[in-house]
Amino acid sequence: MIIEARDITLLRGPCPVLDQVSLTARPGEMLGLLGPNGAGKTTLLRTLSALEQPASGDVLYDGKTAHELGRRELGRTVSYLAQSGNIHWPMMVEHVVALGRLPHDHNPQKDAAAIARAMEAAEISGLAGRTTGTLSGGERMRVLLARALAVEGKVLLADEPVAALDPYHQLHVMELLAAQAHAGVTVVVVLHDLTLAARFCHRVALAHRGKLVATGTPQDVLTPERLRAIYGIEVETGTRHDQPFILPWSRAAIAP
Amino acid sequence: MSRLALSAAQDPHRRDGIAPGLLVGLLCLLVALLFAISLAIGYAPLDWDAAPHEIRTGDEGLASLILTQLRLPRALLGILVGFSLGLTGAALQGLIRNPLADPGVIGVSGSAALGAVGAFYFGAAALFPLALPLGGLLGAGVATALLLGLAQRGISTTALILAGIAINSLAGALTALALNLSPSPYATLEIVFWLMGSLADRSLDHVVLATPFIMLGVILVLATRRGLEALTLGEDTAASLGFSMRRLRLLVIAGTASAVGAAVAVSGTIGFVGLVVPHLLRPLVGHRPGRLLLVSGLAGAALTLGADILVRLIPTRPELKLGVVTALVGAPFFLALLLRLRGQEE
Repeated sequence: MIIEARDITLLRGPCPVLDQVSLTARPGEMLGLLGPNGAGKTTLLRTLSALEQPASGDVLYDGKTAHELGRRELGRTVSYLAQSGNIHWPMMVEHVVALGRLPHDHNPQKDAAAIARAMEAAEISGLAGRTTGTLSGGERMRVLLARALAVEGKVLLADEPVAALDPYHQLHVMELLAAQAHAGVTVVVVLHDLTLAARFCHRVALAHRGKLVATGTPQDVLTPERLRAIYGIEVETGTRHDQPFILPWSRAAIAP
Repeated sequence: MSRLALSAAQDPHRRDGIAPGLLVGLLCLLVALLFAISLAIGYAPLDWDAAPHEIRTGDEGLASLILTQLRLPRALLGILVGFSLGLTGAALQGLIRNPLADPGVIGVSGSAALGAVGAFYFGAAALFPLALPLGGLLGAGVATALLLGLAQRGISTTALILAGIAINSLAGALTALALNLSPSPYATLEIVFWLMGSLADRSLDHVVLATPFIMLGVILVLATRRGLEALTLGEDTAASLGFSMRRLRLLVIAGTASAVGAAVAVSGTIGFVGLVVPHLLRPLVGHRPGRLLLVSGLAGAALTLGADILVRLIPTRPELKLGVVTALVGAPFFLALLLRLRGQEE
């Protein structure tokens, strides 16, 4: 599914949090949303998932608005992985994953198959009978990812899914997201890690003060000059096995 | 899926609860048993051979009067009131994702009590006996209208609960004012006794008055089952799964207000049932907030019937008030439960 934001403006009081933002993500693509804290990444992702209503502009899902799709159909189509990984009750892992089936008409066989597929894809099949209170941070994020995958939507929107994870689990979750994109899902992911963005995303969009300052391939967008201007950092860059890495090294002399 | 089921069955950490159908069945049996016991005991001796015959023949003898005017209303109200408290306690805990919530937090029970106290204070209660529950319903209705107005405007769950707490405080203050200004010590005593909560001396009129409101409340609250389940992962995730948060709040608040308002209007305030019962049942349903609703209602009915039987078995005069017993038993039990749960978590 093509998800398209057209001239989105969103206000908090008089201040625009998003200012005439346009963005398109396509099936099979992993699109990274980057930018400093407060740039509007999360708000943009929430707007893409219809959790926020823009003051002007449209979000279109294969050309249809959220209203035209309807709440239920939207729930089946667009899967949203929230930033706060709260699981409020110590439920069993497979019951948490099963929550992803709620937008669908109840069908025990279909649901069980989808839950099993999602758990397999997130590599948590071994955790099925555990309660969420007994999980490590990495296991927990994969459980939440499996919940989002159990929706079996055409779009997956993930808000900083690797922020609280150790490097091993960061790579693991990014690989799982990449596999989803490879399978034809439209994946939009908010990231802070520049190397992960450069390595895993087909395209990235760089946000700054409510605007998208650049959209394109990581090589084109994440240049040292731009990162200095937007993040206020000096970076070391290079390639390893033909794959780019970007290492934040020091704060720039001039603050952003 | 079979492989999954196998690995889950072997996991020693597995806490799935017992099969939902079995749990509901067992609780229904328990409620039926306690209902029968509740019918069987009382101060006025009941001739069990005569009662059915008298009811069949329409002969208003002593036995049929005791059964239909004393025992039956009491047992039926035990089920209705207990079910309302257990169910709505579970729903509110699910809505605010906090195990500290009980049906009292939205202020409807305090307002219902205030309405009934108003009926005492202005003398309506002396004119006709149903003035009390009608006053209670009126009080609950005012508080409900206020809450629904706020919920309709789309305010957050936290703000809604804070509004409920404010309503509760105001209702409490006005109730205290009525006591303060009450014309005679006898009236004060009557109000205080009523506030303690009881199912004694209620008639079938009380049952008829409360049932539609309680039924409506139960239907509304049970309709939130899937939404509450989704709320486990927070409001954003629930919304992304296709649930309207505003609708969910409206249903829980309207349902709780209707059921608990009517329950308090006929029985006074009965504490701890709505708080303790969901805690007790939660591990048995694998902590799933949607699954918890029905079983909490049934367990609430069982607990209230049980406590009301206990009240009649303890030979004190005047009879212990039901609300006193549920709090006396509930509070220490609740503390013990919390200590035990804490022990498990560590």
